[in-house]
Amino acid sequence: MMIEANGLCKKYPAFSLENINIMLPEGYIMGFIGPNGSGKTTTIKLLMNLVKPDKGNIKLFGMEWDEQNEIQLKQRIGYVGEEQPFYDEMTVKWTSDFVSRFYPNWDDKVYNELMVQFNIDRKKKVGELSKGNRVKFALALALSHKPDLMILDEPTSGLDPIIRRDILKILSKFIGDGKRSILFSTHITEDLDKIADYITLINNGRLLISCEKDEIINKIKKVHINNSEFEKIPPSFFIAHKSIGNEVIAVTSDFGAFESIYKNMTGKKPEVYAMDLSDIMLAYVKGEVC
Amino acid sequence: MIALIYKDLYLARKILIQILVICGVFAIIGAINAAKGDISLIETFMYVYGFMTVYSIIDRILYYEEHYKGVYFMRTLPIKESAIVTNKFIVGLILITFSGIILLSFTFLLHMALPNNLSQKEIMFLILILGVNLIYCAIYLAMYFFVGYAKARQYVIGILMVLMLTPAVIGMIAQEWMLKALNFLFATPYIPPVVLIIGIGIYAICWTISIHAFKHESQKAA
Amino acid sequence: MYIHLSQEDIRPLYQQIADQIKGQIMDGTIRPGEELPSIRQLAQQLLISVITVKRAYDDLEREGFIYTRQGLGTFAANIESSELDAMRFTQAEEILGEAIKKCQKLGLRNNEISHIITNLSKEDKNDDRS
Repeated sequence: MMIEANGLCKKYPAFSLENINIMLPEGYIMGFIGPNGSGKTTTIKLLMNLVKPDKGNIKLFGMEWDEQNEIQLKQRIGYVGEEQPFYDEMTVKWTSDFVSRFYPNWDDKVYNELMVQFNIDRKKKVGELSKGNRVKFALALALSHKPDLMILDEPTSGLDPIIRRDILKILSKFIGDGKRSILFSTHITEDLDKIADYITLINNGRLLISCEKDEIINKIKKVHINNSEFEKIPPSFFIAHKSIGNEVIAVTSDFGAFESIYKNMTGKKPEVYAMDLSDIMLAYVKGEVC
Repeated sequence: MIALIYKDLYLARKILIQILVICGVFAIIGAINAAKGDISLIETFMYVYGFMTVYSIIDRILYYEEHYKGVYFMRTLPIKESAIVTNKFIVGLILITFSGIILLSFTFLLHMALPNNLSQKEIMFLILILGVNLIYCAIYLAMYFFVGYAKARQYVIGILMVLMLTPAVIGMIAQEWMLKALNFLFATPYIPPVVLIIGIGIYAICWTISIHAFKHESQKAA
Repeated sequence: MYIHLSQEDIRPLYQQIADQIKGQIMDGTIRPGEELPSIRQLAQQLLISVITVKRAYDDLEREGFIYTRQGLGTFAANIESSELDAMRFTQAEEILGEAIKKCQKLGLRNNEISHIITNLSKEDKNDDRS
């Protein structure tokens, strides 16, 4: 297991994280989704040891965070945080020279290729970069020391669709050998719809879903049935629903089970529509059907 | 570690150059005074300035760290937590040494134009300044790691004000007593070295407790 | 190997992949014994989840369309032409079966539907001739 986090809890005055579990095996991408303020960044800071948990434990590459492992673990992780706290006064070149000194596996060739691809002016002060370029720079730094695990907090926010696709290509290539993994938190769920292997959804500091993305897409579907049918089915089958006249559009959490109940009840197959991750998130978080 | 030290000094490079320029100006004025034969006033200015340079450089470095969230940045990098603290204390030592060398060179230069050599009083004064610099730098850094830049700065400025005003006030009220006390201070051979040794001790203690405070702070960090 | 994925398609992605590879094997675009991209290669090419591609390949292997040789790769199976014909017929039955159901829903009668199919087939033949 690349990431093994169990029962993570962290309490703040206005917010708390309860019982968060994250399991990410080698060679896969996990998408980490949830509305703003749901606790994604806090969870990531816990995983990165920037904040210590009140309860629970964390193992990365099978190792826990302690004084012995601190440096070794950080050298194996490529981290892009929600903010990129560089010294704004300093140039891009100075910053990369500075950062590279802490990573024995730093590869200038990789760094140069990425900086050319991302089209970032190295003589500029970091503070003068646009938000998008700043994130790209952070990503280039993270990839250039050849980590085994990438932990990314909103790495594509502020970026146009073309460069986002380029980044997804880079990330897909990153896990290509089956030995490296990526944890990718984002609110742009479209980026994850196709590429994520696993999805973890949190809201209000609580874990709602954590499993294979295909399982989620196969089980959570939108069905179109009529009112009387809807009333006959136990409400536990549905996460959300919307009435339109005599019809109901409902989101079911287990389509397989729903399908058999519906067939037994009506003898026919239900009208079903696929949902993408943002629809699913909306249903779970706001109980809304779009 | 070298990367960290270089980073701090590089961030403060503008002020380092500024200081050298001002020292240059002092040197010129001092040379003029030396030609006239009296260097005591310029020397006193220079010693006070030498004391203040360490303050201003450390202050600037800590300001940058605070302003750019440097500590947070460093914690995302593969750097030991204790190294983040040690870095600042080593930079402090470098700056104090830097200041000491400038003062010594300055004093030598002045004496080149005069018939007399370096007096014991001047050497004692230098040692005293080194000791005082060590004490106050250690306290400033320790406070920074305990309560953060803003509060540390307030307290240190407050202490400095008190330390500078008290002799001035006493000087106004009891001038003769003041002069006797100063002479005693610089003439007695053992007080400045004692201050230096105390300074080294306080520096070492502040270094150690700052590492503990920093590690403890990171437990609670947001 | 070219695969086209659509988010609009009701079929899940793994099924779209499996169906398209099946189709390409059946119509000869992928020749028997031809090497397919590895699971991770295809995932990278399509920018999709590795698990999704693995499921498609597992299904295809189970149905006998592809086979894997440890250390060598994944290859299209050599399927008997009679078997391929049978598969083509089965798939045609599926496609037409669905289309017929939809027509019946519209209210058309079976002889009307047969009539339409005959006409459409004739048209296609004309197109082929010209």
